[in-house]
Amino acid sequence: MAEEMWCTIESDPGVFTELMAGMGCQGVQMEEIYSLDEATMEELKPIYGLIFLFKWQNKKNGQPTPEVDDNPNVFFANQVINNACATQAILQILLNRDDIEIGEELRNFKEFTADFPSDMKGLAISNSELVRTVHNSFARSDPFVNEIVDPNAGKDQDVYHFIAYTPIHGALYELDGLSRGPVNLGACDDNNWTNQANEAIQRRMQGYGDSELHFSLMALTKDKVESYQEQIEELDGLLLSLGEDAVNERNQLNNQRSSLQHKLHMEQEKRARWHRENVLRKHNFIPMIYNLLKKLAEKDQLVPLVTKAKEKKQ
Amino acid sequence: MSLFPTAPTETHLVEFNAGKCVVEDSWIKPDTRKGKLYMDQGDDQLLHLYWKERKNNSTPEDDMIIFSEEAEFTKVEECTTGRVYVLKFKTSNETHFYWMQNKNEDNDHALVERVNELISDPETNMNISSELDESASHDELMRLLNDAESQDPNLTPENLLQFLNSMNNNMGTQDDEDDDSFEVNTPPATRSSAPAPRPVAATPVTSATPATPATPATPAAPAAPAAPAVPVAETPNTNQQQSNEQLDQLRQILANIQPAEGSKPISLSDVLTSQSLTPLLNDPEMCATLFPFLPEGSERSAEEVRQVVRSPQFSQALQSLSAALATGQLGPLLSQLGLDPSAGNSVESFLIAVGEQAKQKKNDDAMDED
Repeated sequence: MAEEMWCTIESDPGVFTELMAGMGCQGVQMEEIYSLDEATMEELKPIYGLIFLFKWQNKKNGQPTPEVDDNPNVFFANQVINNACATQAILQILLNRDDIEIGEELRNFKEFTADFPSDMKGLAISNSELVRTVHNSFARSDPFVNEIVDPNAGKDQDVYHFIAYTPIHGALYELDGLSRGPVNLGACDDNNWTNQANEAIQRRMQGYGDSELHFSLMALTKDKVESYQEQIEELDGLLLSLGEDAVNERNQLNNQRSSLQHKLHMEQEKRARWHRENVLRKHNFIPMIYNLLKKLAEKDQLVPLVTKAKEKKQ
Repeated sequence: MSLFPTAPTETHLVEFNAGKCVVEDSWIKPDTRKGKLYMDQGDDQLLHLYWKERKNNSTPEDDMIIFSEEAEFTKVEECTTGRVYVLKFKTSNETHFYWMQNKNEDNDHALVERVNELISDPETNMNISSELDESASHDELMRLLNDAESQDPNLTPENLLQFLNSMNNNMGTQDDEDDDSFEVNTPPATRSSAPAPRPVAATPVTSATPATPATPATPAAPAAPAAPAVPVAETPNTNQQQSNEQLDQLRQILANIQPAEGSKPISLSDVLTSQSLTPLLNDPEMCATLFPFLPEGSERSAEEVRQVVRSPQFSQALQSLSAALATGQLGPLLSQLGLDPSAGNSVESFLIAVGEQAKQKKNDDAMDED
């Protein structure tokens, strides 16, 4: 029953970034990544968590089921709603960190569910009006249409599977809502835990064998726009403190500043693009579609188009 | 495998009962034998026109290759009492005369048109026919049924039902019913090249056989699943009323078999293509009428309209709406748009309703101006 109330949403970093903001988080964003190598990771720091997502083709992972670590300090929720899998994975990261501003509502939620067993936690997520409404706001167009049909449902029977990785109290945890509980992957360092995560992900991929695994990687990071702005401010401060004769230093800092300025600009453009995409996603296109059809009909073009379309289908 | 025990087993691009005519001096006389004129793609991949006697196991007596647009099949108007047609070759002035032997002359026109269609574009037509997709066969089957009463006793609902019923068993055995014998009172006598009409003595009486006999066996496939559901009398009842009932039943069943395998329903994206939208949206005034439907915060410009319509989100919206329309549950939405809710059971019916609404409005506006 609850299943019907959650729509599928696109697995898109722009969607997820705005989703988090919608739930009350500040200073975070999602970024799609194509490599877990050090250079990439360095560029993205600070990274709060990684999400590995792939199409769940119901193939058995060739590896033995890892042991579960029922650490009470780890927030772990069993996945109850299929369509909420992305949102759930994101929450698994957000609610396990104490260095993110998650906003009042999520803080309350975390406190409220702290002592719940994992399945109850999962249920609590599915019943959260805040989470559900923000999530569903990214599903498309018209409420009439959403109620009736989910264009993704049934089209392929594969389901997307999201697994979160994040360091908690000095150990790297794998948080898979479809598992019984969190998996402790060993001690890690806050600075280079992504290497270990990389290994764990590789192992997983090998376990699935040669089957075509469509997957993506995303990183939950600090909001880059904020980050770049802060860094530029820092540099500005430094520049001010320089003496007039520190020409070399000044040049160096100015170069850094330009480079940051450039990155900031790119990031802002990307966010503007994401925002526009989200606006379009949330927009009800039915009036537009209807009016386009009406205009074609008024020009006596609609009927011939229908005929032509039918012929092509034969 | 044919649908009717009496009908021939082959299937052709077009076929109908026709007799030949023989040219004697300047007179054209009918060959009284019962025959069949049909066209097929030969082994040489070319279009052939054949005539053969309607005896069992007869081989074609005439076999002509017709190249694209090389010939024409037209009615001989001078012969006012017969249904005489001439196949005239444009390149060689060769002519062949035939007279229709189907009881029902209603189909003459369609058949002749088909012949000419094939002649004008053999390739397209040969390929299309050879596909025998289920929707075309389904339509033919329906047509057959609807024409059934006006045709030959051979084609009876009992036959059809029996056949469907025996799909999984052996064919029902039914006596081969001969065509009614026909009489020729006097042959149609026409002068082959006479401009003035010549008196014609009489019209040959045609034998009674369906105009388009046995549809290809494949339509039996989609029809077959219905067979178990058909309450068929084991022995054909010659009672006319009962056979009409059976016919109706059958019609209903077949009408409910959506030829889904053959034809796919159209979606909104098939109609709102970039081809159809580009000219529309190149008009700035047209775009301006769409400003109210742009997302909030969008720039109110023609370019913005175009970009929005090109966006993946718009395409997705088309897909969602098409899928929702196909479920038939969008009645309330249609009402909101001022359309008849019952038109919401497919994309096609939705589009038709929109078209009708626009037409109605045009009429209303025109009337208001008076």
